[in-house]
Amino acid sequence: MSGIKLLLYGIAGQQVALISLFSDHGRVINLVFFLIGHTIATACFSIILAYMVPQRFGVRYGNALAAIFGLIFFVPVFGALGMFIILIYFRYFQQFKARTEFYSAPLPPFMAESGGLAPGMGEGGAWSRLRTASVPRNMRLKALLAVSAGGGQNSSRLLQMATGDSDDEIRLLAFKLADQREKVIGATISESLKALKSAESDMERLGLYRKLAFSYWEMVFNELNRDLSEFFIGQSLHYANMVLGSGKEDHALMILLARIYLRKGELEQAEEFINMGLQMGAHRDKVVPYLAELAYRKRDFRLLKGLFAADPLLRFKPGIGPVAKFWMGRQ
Amino acid sequence: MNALPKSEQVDVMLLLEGTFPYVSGGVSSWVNQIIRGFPDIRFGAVFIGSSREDYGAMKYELPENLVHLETYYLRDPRIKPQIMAHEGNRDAFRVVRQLHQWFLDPKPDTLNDEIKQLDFYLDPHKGVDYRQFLYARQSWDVIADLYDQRCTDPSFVDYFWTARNMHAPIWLLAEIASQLIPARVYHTVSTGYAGFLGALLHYNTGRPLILSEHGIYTKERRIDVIQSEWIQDNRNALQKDPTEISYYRDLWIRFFETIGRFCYAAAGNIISLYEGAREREIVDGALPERTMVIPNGIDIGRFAPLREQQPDDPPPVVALLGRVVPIKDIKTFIRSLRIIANHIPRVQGWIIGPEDEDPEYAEECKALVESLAITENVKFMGFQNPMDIFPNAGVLVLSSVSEGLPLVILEAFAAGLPVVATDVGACRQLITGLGPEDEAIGPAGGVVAINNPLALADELLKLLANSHEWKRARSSAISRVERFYAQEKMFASYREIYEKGMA
Repeated sequence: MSGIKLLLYGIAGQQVALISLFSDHGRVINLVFFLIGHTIATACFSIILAYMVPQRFGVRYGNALAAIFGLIFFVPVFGALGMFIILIYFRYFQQFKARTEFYSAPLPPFMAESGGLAPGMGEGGAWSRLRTASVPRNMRLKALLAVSAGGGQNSSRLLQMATGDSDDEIRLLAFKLADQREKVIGATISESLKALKSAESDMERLGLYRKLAFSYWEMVFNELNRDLSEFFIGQSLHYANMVLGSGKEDHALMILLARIYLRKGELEQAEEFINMGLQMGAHRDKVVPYLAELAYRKRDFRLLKGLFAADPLLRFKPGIGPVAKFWMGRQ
Repeated sequence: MNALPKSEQVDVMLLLEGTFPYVSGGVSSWVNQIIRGFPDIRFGAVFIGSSREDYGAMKYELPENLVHLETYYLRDPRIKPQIMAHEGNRDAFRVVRQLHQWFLDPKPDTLNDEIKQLDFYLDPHKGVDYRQFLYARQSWDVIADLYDQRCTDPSFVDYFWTARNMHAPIWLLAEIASQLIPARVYHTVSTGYAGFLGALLHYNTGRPLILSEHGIYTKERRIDVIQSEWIQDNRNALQKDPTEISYYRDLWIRFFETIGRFCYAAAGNIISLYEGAREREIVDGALPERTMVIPNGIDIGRFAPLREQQPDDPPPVVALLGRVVPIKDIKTFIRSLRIIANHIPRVQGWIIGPEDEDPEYAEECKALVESLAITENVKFMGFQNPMDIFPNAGVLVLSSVSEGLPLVILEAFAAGLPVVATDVGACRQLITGLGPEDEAIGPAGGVVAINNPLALADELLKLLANSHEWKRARSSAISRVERFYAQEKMFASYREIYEKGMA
């Protein structure tokens, strides 16, 4: 039955109920006719109104129907009118935007660079197994392989720690995995140094200096051979300055220099290079973490909060989510 | 081949896989030392290598009492039997199936007796000969059934060829065993293929088998296999779990474990260099009552005169004596030199050892020296006589990730050279002592965790920058080696074992 028909039957029913109230057939008959007309009208209106309940309310149709029926039945006419107005308001004037769930929030650009969690076993779980000598060797080997499957600083740190394990096999495997990881960057550095010796033009040399600056920094960033991090930082800075001296505009290099100075604790220079990088066209979203770190280390918490507030979706992200919640002051 | 010594019979037949006389290193030196230490015993040796082209000339002059030497290469192409369709020996393949069932629960001393006999591998009527292994329908059925039942990798082709390549050397070893000249004792210095050969020889001649393990073969193979790039993994992205070792890797690991157990079961004496290794052998299937520890020992008199040649203060020279291969972790040594050079700019790091075993790694090490800007501080000197090196060095370094009981440490001690080594094998025992009497002598250097350049550099700096500390470590080194690691003790233990075996 269409909504119009239902509406007409409802109005007719309500008319019957109203007329019966004022007719002179006797109280009992009037009451019977009223109840019949009002019940039909209530049922018709309820069916129509229950369909109008917005889906986002998440109410089952049957429950909505029962609730509306109850209201309209016991508050004749005004109940139906009131409910109609309320539903029109919620349905057409109070449209909420779809809520962003954590799984649908896009990765911010700076996280996209280093995103990706270790598959299989999480880092925490893997490490808790690795450091428990009483766990069977096979399980600890699995944990070690899980650690190595992920990349980044934590993974390098865990592999390094595992090289001091009491179990010979764990130690050996951790060593090999750590070595493999470093080999890739080490090979890039070696190739660049070799190419530098035979470079014939300034342009070629500048390209290699730039590559070396980033490669040495990769060693620092990935916490590879932490014992030599000061040396790597020095080398990275040295080669970055060689490129800088050429006067070439390179926003990525500016940001690299900012990161190096941040690491060295020289905040003024770090800020200067971040600003230069931004002026040269660095994407602001990618620079946000360094701006935030700079603000934190300068104790400029207002600015820090502002940076987090600029991307409200950060709070849904694993890793940075709790930090964002802390600074944004809401859950 | 013609230049190799030949004889009709020997007292002790050494079974050597990838070591003396074609590869230099600790185990090879030990073999050389043992042969020369028993001039009254006639030794023979079977060298088992991977491929002929992997080895150059002999690295050692053969001792006079090494009267017989045979060389075999497992990966060299072999003349295969003519292809001929046939069913194969059903009973023998039933034994093969039982054997694979046994692999699922390999209890010591419960191995099927048939596979201990050489006839099983050589006589088509009594077992599965090479032709049957390659071409019999039964062989195909066994492989296909095992693939269906156990293989988790989707590729049958890879499974088939893995099974073939893995098992083929067994028939070569059986042939070697059948043709080998008689010996009164068989002595293998590892499990693996050499150990398997030793077990076959023991079961078929009744002569005793001695196993002296310097490292733990199965452990080293396991690490190699996990890391190797030549083993296929055909699982797709959804099937792969990065925490799982792929099926073929696991298969290779189990293969080496199994032939290791075969050797442990046959060996009457299972000798390790230190207690930790002995415990590991038991875990891997050796019967505890057959295990014992005999530490290495050296000819102290040969090195003692070098003590006089050393200066009063430590020369700023740290020497690493060892093959330039990943297991020696030369890179950590190089990195530590970078740190030391920040404190002692004129420090010299000498890397003394052959570079031909893993040229790619040697190149990586040289590239690392360059990337760390210490080309002035590091020298790759190739193979040198330790006698020429020790008097000029301040400290000996061992940055290895795996060791047994390194002879080079004992030699350095005997020459009065302190040692800083990683905490692997028996290095801690050598440097800080084992037991109250030994520990009372004091540390003869330092012990650090593996892959830790900073700790290594710190320990080296302690010795190089502190003359008093260096002299104290020297004195401890000399006392310890003289009291506990003279070769006479080691020879006495082996003489007893050899004599009992030869009886």
